[in-house]
Amino acid sequence: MTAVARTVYPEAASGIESFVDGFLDGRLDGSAHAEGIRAAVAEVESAARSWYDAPVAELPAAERDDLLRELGADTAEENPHGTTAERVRYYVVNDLLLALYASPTGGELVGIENPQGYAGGAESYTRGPP
Amino acid sequence: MSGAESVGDGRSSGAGSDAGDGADSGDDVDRTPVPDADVCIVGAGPAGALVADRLADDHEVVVLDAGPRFDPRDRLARQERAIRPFYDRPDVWGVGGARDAHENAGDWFYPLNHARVKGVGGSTLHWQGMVMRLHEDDFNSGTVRGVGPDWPIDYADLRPYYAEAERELGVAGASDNPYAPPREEPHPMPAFEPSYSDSLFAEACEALGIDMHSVPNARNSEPYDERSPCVGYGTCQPVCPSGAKYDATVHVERAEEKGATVIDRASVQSLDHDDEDRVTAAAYATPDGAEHRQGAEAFVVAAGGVETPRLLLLSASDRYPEGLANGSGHVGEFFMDHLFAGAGGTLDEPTRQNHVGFYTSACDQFYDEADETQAPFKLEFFNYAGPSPIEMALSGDDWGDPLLERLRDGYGNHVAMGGLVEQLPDAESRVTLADDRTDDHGNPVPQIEWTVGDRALDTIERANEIQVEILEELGADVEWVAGPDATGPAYHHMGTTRMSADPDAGVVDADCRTHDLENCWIASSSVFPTSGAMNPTLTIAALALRVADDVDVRLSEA
Ligand SMILES: Cc1cc2nc3c(=O)[nH]c(=O)nc-3n(C[C@H](O)[C@H](O)[C@H](O)COP(=O)(O)OP(=O)(O)OC[C@H]3O[C@@H](n4cnc5c(N)ncnc54)[C@H](O)[C@@H]3O)c2cc1C
Ligand code: SF4
Repeated sequence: MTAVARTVYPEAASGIESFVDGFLDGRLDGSAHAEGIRAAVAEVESAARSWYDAPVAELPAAERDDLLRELGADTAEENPHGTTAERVRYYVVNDLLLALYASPTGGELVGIENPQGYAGGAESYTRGPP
Repeated sequence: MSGAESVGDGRSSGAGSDAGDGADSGDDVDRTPVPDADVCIVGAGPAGALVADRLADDHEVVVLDAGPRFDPRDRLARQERAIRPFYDRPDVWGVGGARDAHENAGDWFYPLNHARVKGVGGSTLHWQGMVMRLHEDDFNSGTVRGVGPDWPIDYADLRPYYAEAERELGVAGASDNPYAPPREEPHPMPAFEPSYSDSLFAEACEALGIDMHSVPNARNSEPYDERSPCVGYGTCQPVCPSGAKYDATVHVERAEEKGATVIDRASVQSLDHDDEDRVTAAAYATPDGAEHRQGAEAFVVAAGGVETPRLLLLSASDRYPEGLANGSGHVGEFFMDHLFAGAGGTLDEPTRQNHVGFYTSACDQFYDEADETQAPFKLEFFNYAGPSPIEMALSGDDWGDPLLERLRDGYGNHVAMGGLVEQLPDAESRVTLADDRTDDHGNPVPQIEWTVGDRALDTIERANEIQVEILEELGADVEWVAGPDATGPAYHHMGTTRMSADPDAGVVDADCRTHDLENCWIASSSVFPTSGAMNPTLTIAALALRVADDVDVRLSEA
């Protein structure tokens, strides 16, 4: 997941590894969703090995990007029960994007420190731009 | 958080609540009738829940709801459904499928399953929680404005109940609105502070001589009723994970603590009656395929503005061939909603939108200008204009830096205004039973024929003019206007069992008791003879409390 995060997260996002670890700690909770993440990550991993002869984590940035696009995860619409592309989009790409942009870490990059889905208190909306 | 799909198997189209929507399906739940019940209430939305809570201390109360009891621990997963593009709005609370099938006929499409939730808590699980009192003139539209009927009750009759309803729901508000009807005491909680974008609007409005004021929210601005203050999740509509937004599970739980029995997934198929014009039982179906009959001394139908008339029509009998309580022929007629009027655009500066999912300022200045040709309307200053970055992020073809750039371009400087406009009651705008389509129990589904008249459409234009004027004064590039061609309903179903002192002109009397059946009341916006332009639920709550008092008096007399 961290390797994929390096592709789908912007350059400006720092501390990706600990951010993703923290998110996965809560997410890999033995639920059906956790299973879905594991299965989709395994599919990305196996595609990397058969198409690029290397685990995702060892691919250079450009090849990681290519891999995700060849899997179709860029144009696919997310679907937890769909094709590989749709499941990778749902469980991997969008789970990572959701984690980032529904948190102040990602929100601040866009200019919203209290984004939807984050309980950032009922004062930030009253404040002007920093 | 276990993921959006943890509350069910994806989208609900197909099987409705039976899709195992993650609601507490509780197969070991006892859904058999309660012996010796005094009061049977159909529907566990705010109307039914408030009646139940108020009567449960002194009476044996049973509430039957067609939908499930949702597990409060699932709210974060439901919130994720609200954000993720895979899920439609109705999926958040498992609306849809055969249980909720319906037909549209007529010129105007009505998206019914976006406009309701079935289950314990009812549509307040999804609602936004804006709660205003109707204005005094709204109760006398015929006399004062020259259109529509007068209500058989006045603002003064409801005034103490409004105050109680505000305490029950927990309303944050202030007394700074010079256009609001008279009130006797402050709101139970202080109003939410105005937003940053309100402060931008304030300058423009001042220049134009337009007044802004606070707006009452059924949402905790401080801890209230053992519920959390708002923590800014920003997804109020359709789900508040913190419980800061009022929903009717509050009163359902309270009623249960007092001894009421609430049976979920108990879809009432019809009401039985005897030869003396009394309802005797509610016949309901449970998920195990059984059909039961709940008897009671008094019945309160609180199934929302569409299912309430439908249930009465489904209860037709030899004695009442046109449907129960339908001696007037008006059951299902006069279906109304509030029409949306809006406009928005962008500024060349940050506007700080989408931190919270509710608005904090409004303008009621033009409301009481209403007459024969202009409807009452109110204006709202949004805090959630433009796209939310997270929703944009999940649905593009890009990621990494290009995505961040798209988000920065798309988010940040939007502004928007909304507004609601009254529509007049029209007998041709109505809910009937569909001829050729049935639900999961084989009952004809509701058919909606929604029509909107010129007075409302002209008033939308008037609202748009003011909105555009304000936005232009603000220096905004106006990018969209939701005018008469782009308007839609606010999801407030009203009018379908109207209240009238005259049994030929309405379905219920001034006490919301049906003219035809002496032990049957209706607690719903379906009793509104006219709709005003204020969100209906505070009025529904006030009427429900009043219904409870009347039921109590009559049970005591008996
Ligand atoms: C998106 C949205 C936003 C809204 N925002 C606002 C707002 O800001 N302010 C406002 O005032 N209002 C708002 N509303 C409207 C508000 O939710 C309703 O006015 C309110 O919930 C109506 O209360 P009720 O108890 O009459 O009906 P409901 O809340 O709809 O409850 C009716 C209950 O009856 C049950 N039922 C139906 N048929 C049967 C049957 N045959 N047998 C057994 N049970 C049955 C249903 O399952 C349901 O639980 C909004 C609604 C929506 C959808
Ligand atoms: S903004 Fe407040 S009321 Fe709305 S969802 Fe968040 S906590 Fe609930």
